[in-house]
Amino acid sequence: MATDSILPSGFEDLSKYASEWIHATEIDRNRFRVSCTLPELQDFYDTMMPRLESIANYLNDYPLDALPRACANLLELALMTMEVAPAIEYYNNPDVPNAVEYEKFRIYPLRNNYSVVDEQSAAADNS
Amino acid sequence: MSFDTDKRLFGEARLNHEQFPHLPTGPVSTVPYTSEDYLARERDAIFKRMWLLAGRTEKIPKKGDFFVKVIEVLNTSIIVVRGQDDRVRAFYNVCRHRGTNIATGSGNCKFFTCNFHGWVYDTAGRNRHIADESQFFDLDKSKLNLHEVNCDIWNGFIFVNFDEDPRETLLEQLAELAPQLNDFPFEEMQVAGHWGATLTANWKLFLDAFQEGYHVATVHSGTINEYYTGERNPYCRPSSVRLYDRNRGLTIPFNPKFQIHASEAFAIKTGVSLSQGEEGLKKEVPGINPEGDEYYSFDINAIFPNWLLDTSIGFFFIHEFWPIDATTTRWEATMYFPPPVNAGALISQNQSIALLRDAFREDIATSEGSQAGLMSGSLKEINFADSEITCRHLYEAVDQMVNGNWHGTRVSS
Ligand code: FES
Ligand SMILES: [Fe+2]
Repeated sequence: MATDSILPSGFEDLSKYASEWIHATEIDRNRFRVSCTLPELQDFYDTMMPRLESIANYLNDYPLDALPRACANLLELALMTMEVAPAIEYYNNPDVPNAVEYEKFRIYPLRNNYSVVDEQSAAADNS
Repeated sequence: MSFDTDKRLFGEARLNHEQFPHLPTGPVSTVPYTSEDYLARERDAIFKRMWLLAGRTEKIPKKGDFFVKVIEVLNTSIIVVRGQDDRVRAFYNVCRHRGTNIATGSGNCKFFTCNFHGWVYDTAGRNRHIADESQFFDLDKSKLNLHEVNCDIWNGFIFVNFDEDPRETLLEQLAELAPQLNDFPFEEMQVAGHWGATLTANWKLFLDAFQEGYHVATVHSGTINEYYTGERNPYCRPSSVRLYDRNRGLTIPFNPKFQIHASEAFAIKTGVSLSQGEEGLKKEVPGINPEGDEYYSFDINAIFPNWLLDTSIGFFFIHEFWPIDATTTRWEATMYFPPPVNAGALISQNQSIALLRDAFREDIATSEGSQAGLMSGSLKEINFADSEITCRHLYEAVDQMVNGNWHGTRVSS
C-alpha cells in the first residue's frame, strides 16, 4: 500500500471527499453534517453507501489500534457515512427536524476506538 | 405466553391497569412537577435516603482511578475512587479543613491534595498530611479523614447512599429487577456515545418522556416511529409492563413490517443495529425480553428514583435525570456497545449512535414546552392513559415516599 496517499489504493476515487468529509470525532461529524446542504449529503451518501461493504472488508485486515493514516481516513469517511445516513434515510434534511435546539444539546467527547500508527517514526525506528 | 400480545397492542381493555389494580386511575396533581417545596420533600425523603447511581466500574478500572460526580439536588459532589486496596469508595468532595473541593473531573492519583492549604488524603480517604500542623489546637487528625458516603456495586453499577444508616440494602431497593438483569452482559460493553442537556423541566416530567411509547408516533415521526409503530401497534403500546416495588420495566416491540434502510442492512450484517428486527432475535441474551415478546425490540427498566437502564440485544443505554431545582434538570444519556472487534463493527455501531442520538433530541424537544404549560397554572391535573402506567407508577411511588407511606416495600423499620 502506498503510505503517502490519502486513501488506500482501490479507494482513490473517494479522495474528492478527503479535504472536507474526514472528521475524527462524533462532534465534528455531526457539526459538519448539519452544515451541509441536502444535495451535498445525498451525493456523499450515494457514493459511499454502496462502497461500505468493501471498505469494511478492506479495513478488517488491519488492527484498529494501529491503523495506517490512509486506512484511518477511509474509516472516518465510513463513519461519516453513518452520520449522514439518518439525514438521507429518515429526515430528508441535514438536521433532525422538531428536535431540541442544537445549542442546548451536548455531545461529550469520547476516546476513539482506533488509533493511527505514526508511519514516519515507525520507519525511523526501523532504520 | 401468559397473555395475548395483540390484545395488548390493539384492544380497548386497559390491561395494564387490570394487571396492577392497586394503582389509581384518576387524574394526578401538577404540583409534584412544579413546586420547589415538593422538590425539597423529595430531597429529604428520596435523594438523601436512597441508593443513587454514581457511575460504572469500568470508568475506574485501576487502583487510584477516580471520578467526581455532582449531585446538585444534595448541594454536593462526591469522589468515587478505587483505592490502593482495589476497593471502590465514595467520599464527599469536601476538604476537612475549610471545605474546599479536593478533586475535579476524573483521573488517577495516589493522594488527593487540597488546593487551598495543602491537606493530603489517600485514596482510602485517610488524612495523611496537615501542613504546619503544630499551629492547630487539639487537632485529632484521625477524625479528619474524608467523609465517606455509603457505596455499593451491583453488576458494575456503582451506587451511593447519603443516609448514614440506609434503610434498605441496594438489592432490596432494586427488588426483582436485580435478579432479572443479573446475567445481562453489562461488563462486556463500553461507552460508545454520551450526550446531555440541562433543560427547564422537572426531573419526573423529563424522565416520563423516556418511559412510555405513547409519544413515539408523534415525537419520533421524523425518525424511529416506523420501526416501533405500524399497523400491529399504531400507538406503540408496551407489550408488557412489570412493576418491581418502586422500579418498573416495560417491553417495546418492533414493527414486523418495517422496511430497513441501506445503513441498517449494513449494520445488521456487520454488527448490531438499533433497528435490527428479527435478525436480533436469533441471538440469545440473558436478562432481556422477560415475557417472550415475539417482536421484541428493547426493555425500558426504570430504576427508582431517577434513572433508566434500557437493555436490548447487543447494547444498552442509560438515562439519568438529576434535579437542579424543581424546574431544571440535568439529563445525561450514555450508550454502551461491546468494544468493536474490527472496523466493520465500529462502522456498524455508528449507525445506531447517530440515529439514537437524533431521536433523543426529539425526545427532549417537548419537555420545556410541557413544563412551561404546567407552570402557567392553567392545567391543575394530568390524565395518564393505561399505556402511560409507568408515568403513573413513578408519580405514585414518589408521592408515597414523600408522604412517608410507600406500600409494598420490604423496608424494615
Ligand atoms: S481548605 Fe483544604 S487545606 Fe484548607
Ligand atoms: Fe422516545
